[in-house]
Amino acid sequence: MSENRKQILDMLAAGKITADEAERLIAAVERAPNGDAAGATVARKPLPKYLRVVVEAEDNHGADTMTKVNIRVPFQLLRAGVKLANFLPPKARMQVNEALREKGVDFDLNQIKPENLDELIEQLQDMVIDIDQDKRRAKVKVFCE
Amino acid sequence: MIPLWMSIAVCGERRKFFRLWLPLFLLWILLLPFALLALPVIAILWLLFGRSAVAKPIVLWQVFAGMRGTLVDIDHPHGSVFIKIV
Repeated sequence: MSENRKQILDMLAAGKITADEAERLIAAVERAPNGDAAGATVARKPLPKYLRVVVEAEDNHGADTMTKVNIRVPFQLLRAGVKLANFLPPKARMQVNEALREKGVDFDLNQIKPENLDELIEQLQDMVIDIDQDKRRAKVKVFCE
Repeated sequence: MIPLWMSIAVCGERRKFFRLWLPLFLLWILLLPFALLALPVIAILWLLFGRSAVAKPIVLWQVFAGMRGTLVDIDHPHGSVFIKIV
């Protein structure tokens, strides 16, 4: 048992922290570069900087006319945008939610918080969405880099 | 790091192309005196009313600073748009 884990369990036993806090601390220690249970060093992947969206779609006119979209958005901008969205008045948020719902996107703007975004980025690290639609030959890739 | 250059290129249906380079660093240089003047006001507001009083300008600054690295490249048979912030 590592020293850090022992300390956390001691704190839990002494009633200084709750079981939930202890669990979170142990998880944090396990994630830390020098603190895994086996004692081996786990090198953490560097956090991605950009969200990339690449679309290649065939136009209605035929295969020769392709529409290509290549978008790169810095995560720093997304984080700041989420913070900025918190300043929107509740009425405006409701209107945005309503407009999104009308467009078929059932999404609640109130649920986006900076801490949720960090979690999302962590989950997006190893994700590549690849959509290949046969009818119009559209290819969509969403990934982090 | 703040964005220093912005490149905008637009191509119409007739393949008429125009490209614009915007030196954003000049804008920052122009805004610097105003920022220096605003700094004591922001500091006083922060001390008197806490962080929430100056949260909006801080977040706006974060939005501008976070734009560096943005790339939008859309290529359509009827036109194309390219925006890059470096």
